[in-house]
Formats: sequence, structure tokens, C-alpha cells
Amino acid sequence: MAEPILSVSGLCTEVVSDERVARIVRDVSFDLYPGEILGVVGESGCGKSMMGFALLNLLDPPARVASGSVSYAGQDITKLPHEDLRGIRGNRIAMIFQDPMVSLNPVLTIGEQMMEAVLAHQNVSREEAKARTVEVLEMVGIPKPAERLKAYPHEFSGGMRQRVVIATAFLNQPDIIIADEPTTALDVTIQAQILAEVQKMAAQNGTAVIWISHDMSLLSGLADRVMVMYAGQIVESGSTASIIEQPNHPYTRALMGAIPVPGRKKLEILRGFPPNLLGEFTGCAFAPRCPVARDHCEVERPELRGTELSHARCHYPLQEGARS
Amino acid sequence: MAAYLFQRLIQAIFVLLLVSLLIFMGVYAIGDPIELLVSPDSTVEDIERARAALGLDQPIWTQYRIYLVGLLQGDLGDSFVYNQPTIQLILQRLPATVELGLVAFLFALLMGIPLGLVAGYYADKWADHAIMNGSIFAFSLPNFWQGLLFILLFSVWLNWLPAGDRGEVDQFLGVSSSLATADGWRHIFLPAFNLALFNAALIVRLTRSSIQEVMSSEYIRYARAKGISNRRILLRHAFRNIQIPLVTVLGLELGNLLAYGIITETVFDWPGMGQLLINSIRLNDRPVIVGYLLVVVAMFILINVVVDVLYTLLDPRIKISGSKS
Ligand SMILES: Nc1ncnc2c1ncn2[C@@H]1O[C@H](COP(=O)(O)OP(=O)(O)O)[C@@H](O)[C@H]1O
Ligand SMILES: [Mg+2]
Repeated sequence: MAEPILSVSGLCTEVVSDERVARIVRDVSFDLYPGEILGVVGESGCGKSMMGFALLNLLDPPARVASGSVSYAGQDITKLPHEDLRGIRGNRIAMIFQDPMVSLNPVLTIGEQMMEAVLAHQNVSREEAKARTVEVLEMVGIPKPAERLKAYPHEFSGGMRQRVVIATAFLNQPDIIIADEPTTALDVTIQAQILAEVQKMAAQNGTAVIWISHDMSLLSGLADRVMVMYAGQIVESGSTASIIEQPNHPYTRALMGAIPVPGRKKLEILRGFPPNLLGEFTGCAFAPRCPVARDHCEVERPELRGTELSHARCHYPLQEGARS
Repeated sequence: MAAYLFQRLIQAIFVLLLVSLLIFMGVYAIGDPIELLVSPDSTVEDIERARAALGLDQPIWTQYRIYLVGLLQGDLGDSFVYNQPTIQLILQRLPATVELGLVAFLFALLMGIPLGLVAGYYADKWADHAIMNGSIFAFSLPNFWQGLLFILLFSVWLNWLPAGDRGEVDQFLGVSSSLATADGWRHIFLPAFNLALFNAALIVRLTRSSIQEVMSSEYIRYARAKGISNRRILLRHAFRNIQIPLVTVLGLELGNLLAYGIITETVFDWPGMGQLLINSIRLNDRPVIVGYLLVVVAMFILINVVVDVLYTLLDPRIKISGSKS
């Protein structure tokens, strides 16, 4: 296999407030390969967005990367001087933010906000930047893009704004795109068009994609590999097919309860909410909600078990073969 | 836009009428000016004659009606004291006050906005602390005392700048102004600086807190994620957003600088409207007091309209329409 384009190791983030420390992302490690689409799935509040921000060192105080490393092109992004970091952000690694209603500057035109991303990284004329902007807006299905450059965000619907943010990530043909629930506000046709566009980029340009979502069914048709996140931890990771066909972690199976699969009876709906991340867990973070938890799960913390590309953090994995 | 401006014009006329009535009543309540106007050894007959000549023997409604009829023709009446048309008195002194106010406003902007941007951007760093502590001085030391201090320092000890009066004037944009001559600029520097300091401190604080708020918003984080330079993020993304709250306050400040520079005018012996107002109040020179205040109200209304128009230029989400408000 090729060298990973991004290598994350032991990444932890925390938010410090009034002497209390919330550990939001807990010891996340993974490798991302060129051309790969990696899905990250989990309920709301599991720390997916914060992990995405941490990958680009975009956390603002009181949130910060507490430990771990994010290696890109031989450099650790979490320790890079600002100017080097700036050269990577939006250029080699682009991020699509979750909420398009607040991520665009309300008083600058769409055209300016997109063109500036080109001009910040490429030594090109305004005309060339504009041409590129129009090109990517076409890719995400915005009609008559050249005429819309002078529009302000409030003149666009939520879905249109989301497409603008997605198109912006395409501008500099990055090595990596981190997409944080980017298609939630889009209708099905546009969503399909954008997924196809992303898959094409991954296949043709070798762009690696980290696609964050709470929707397992969307990822099943898009991702090569899926990481399941719960309470800031990776609880299961593996190829999309194996995760869907043979989930090991009860949480993974519970997430898939939402996917209708012909011939399979509907699985139990997940009850309750993810835990408060202010405290520490004595045992498995999922134990209180787990349908197959035993006493042991409440006391001992499970470690990740399996191969580097396929593993789960569970004392009693669902697949026979994985049980130790 | 035209509908809006027309509507504002109608509003302005109503406001001015109302204000004229209120001031007229208020000034009437202060007392009969005649005792201050005639010499102490005048006979009762002299006083009655003077009273009749000024129209003060009429009932107040008649007096107001006569004033109003004049006002609608653009006549603010004659000063009791100077025996000159009020409008002429005001127009003689208006340029001095306006130029002082405008220069002070310019100074306040040039000091306040850059310092506020720095303080907000480096919040809680040493630069911020230095600027904020400095602004406390400008805030809390009495304005006239600062003025006296400047005179002592720059005029008396260092002898760099003149301490008072207006200096040479020349034609500037069609009015006679000190801004047309170097000597005029030397004269205006200290009083304008003195007048500007308090307002600059206010602008610093507003700019700082607005910048701090904007810098924590999601679109700034997104701009950083795009790899935009810090400079551009501050000066384009953040600054463009705080211009709206800034313009609101700047409009009010400009009004205050133009209308209430009285203390500074007194300290620096500046021949503006401030002195005229103080004299008129002392002698209860009714037409001048009412006329001055009407001019001030008109300036405030004008500034408000300019601020409203600026809003629409600064914030694409705001549209002016004739029907609104
Ligand atoms: N800047 C922050 N300050 C404090 N808490 C935060 C901050 N960002 C996220 N959190 C907390 O971290 C947890 C995970 O948030 P997030 O990463 O947005 O989850 P997800 O994207 O999976 O829904 C939430 O409980 C949230 O309240
Ligand atoms: Mg999120």
C-alpha cells in the first residue's frame, strides 16, 4: 500500500473552563491514504467536528490540542509555525464547515470569499482566480455561476450556501478535503451530484476525503473505510463493507438501525444520549446504553483490538471471530 | 431612496417645529430678558418702550406665532443684544466650530480605529493593556484640564504650537477657514486634539470590543481554514463587519463634536459658536439661543440621515425603503 497522506496519532483535544477540563477527542489515531474516502460517523456531540478542526489546528482557546500529532508531508500540523500552517490550510488541506448559515461572511460577496482562497495560495491574476471560481461553482451545480459572484450570502438559500462552501474546498485541488456533514441541507439530487463529484476527484486526482456524517446509509454508498466515533473515541474502524455487513461494536450496529436493509428485521433503536465528556469513564463509555453490556464493561476500559485497518473497542464484539 | 429622503425631510421639518416650540417655551420660562438688556438707570418708560420694540409685551402665543412666521421664511429673528440678524451671527461663527469639530473627528478616527483594532486583535496581550490603560486617562481626566495641560506643555514650555485663537483664515471650499493656511492648521491642532481625545478613547473601546466579538465568529474561523492571511482577516473580514456598529457611534460623536465643543472653545479661546451660546444664555438673548439650538438639531438630523444611508452601503442585508419606520 502507498504511503499515507495524513497520519494521526494519539490525538487528544480538551476544553478548559473554570479549572474543569472536558476531554472531547480522546486518543484518536488513523492513517489516511491518497484517493481514499474515509467516513467518520457518530451521533451529535461525539466530537467529530472538533476532531476535524484539530486536524487543521483550528481550535480556539479555551479548546486546544492537548497531545498527539497530525503528520502531513513529514510535518506535524499541531506544531507548525503559523505561516506554514496558513500555506496548508485551504490549499493542501481544505475543510468544509458544518453550518453554511454561519460560515460565510455576511458582508462580503460570494465571489470575493471564494476568489480570496485562490489568491491566498496561487500566484495568479484575478481573472484566473475568477475563472477557477466559476468552474468549481459549476461542479456543484450552481446555475449561472458567473452572475452569482456579486451576490451576498443572504441572497442564497441554505443549500446554495452549502454548495458554495463545498465548491470553495475544491478551488485549490487539495490533497485532502475534510468535509463536516456537508450535505445535510441539500436535496437528494444535488447531494448525489456532489457525492459523485467528490468520488471523481478522489479517483482522478487522488484527493483523500474525510467525510464526517451522522448518517451511516450515506457513508455506505460513498466511503471506502468507516471510523465510528463515540464519546471522543474511535470505537470501531474498518472497510465500509465489513462494518456494514459484520459490525463488531454494538454502537455501530445501533447506528445502522436507521438503515433499512431488505430481508433484515429492524434493529432496536438507540436510546439515551452520548455521555458528558467532562468526566472520566471507569469502564466502556457506551456501557450504560449497550444492549449486550455485562458487569465487566462498567469497570474495565476496553482497548482497541484487531488489525490496524479493522478494529473495535469492545469487550464483547458481536462477530464470533473477533472475540478473544 | 428618493422616497426615503423625502420622508426624512418631512420628518425633519416636524422635528424642527416641535423643537422650536419646546425651546421657545423653555427660554420663556427662564424669565424676562429685558432687565438684562437695558441699562440699570433706565426709567420705567424706557423699559416699557424697549420691551415693546422687542415684541416682549405680546402674549407668548403671539410671540411664538411671529417667530414661527419668520422661521418659515428662513428668518431666525434679530439678536436682542447685538441688534443683528441671528442667522448672520451664527453663520459668522459656524465655520470655526464646524472646522474644529471635523478636524477633531478626523483625529479621533485616526487615533481610535487603528488603536482599537490592535487592542481587539491582541486582546489581553501587552499591546491591549497599554492601549486600554491609556484610554482610561483620556476618559477620566477632565477635558478642560487636559486642554490646560496641553497649553502648558506644547505652547508655554515647548513653544511648538499657539495656545489660542484661530490663526489665519482663507477661502477653503467656498468658506473662510483655517484649514486653508498652514498657520490655521498650527492653531487648530491643539484644540482639535484636546476635543478628539475623549472621543478617540470611546472609539478605541468600541472597536476593541466589536473586533473581539467578531473574531470569535464562525466565519472568521472559516476564513482561517481557507488560509487567508491574518492581516486580511482582520482588515477585511473582521473590520468590514464592525463598520456598522462603528458608524452608529461615530454619527453621534460627530454631532457631539460639532454641537458641544464649548469647553474646548473656551479653553483655547476659539471664536466658534460655543462662545456665542454662552454669551447668549448669560444675557438671555432668546433668538440666538433658539436659533443656535435649531441649527444644532438640524445638524443632528442631517448626520442621522447620512448614517442611515451609510448603513445600506455597509450592510448588504439592509435596504432603505420609503415605507420603513
Ligand atoms: N469550542 C468549544 N468549547 C467548548 N466545548 C466545545 C467546543 N466545541 C465543541 N465542544 C463540545 O464538544 C463536544 C463535541 O462537539 P462536536 O465536536 O461539535 O461534536 P459533533 O461534531 O460530533 O456533533 C460537545 O459536547 C460540545 O459541546
Ligand atoms: Mg459536528
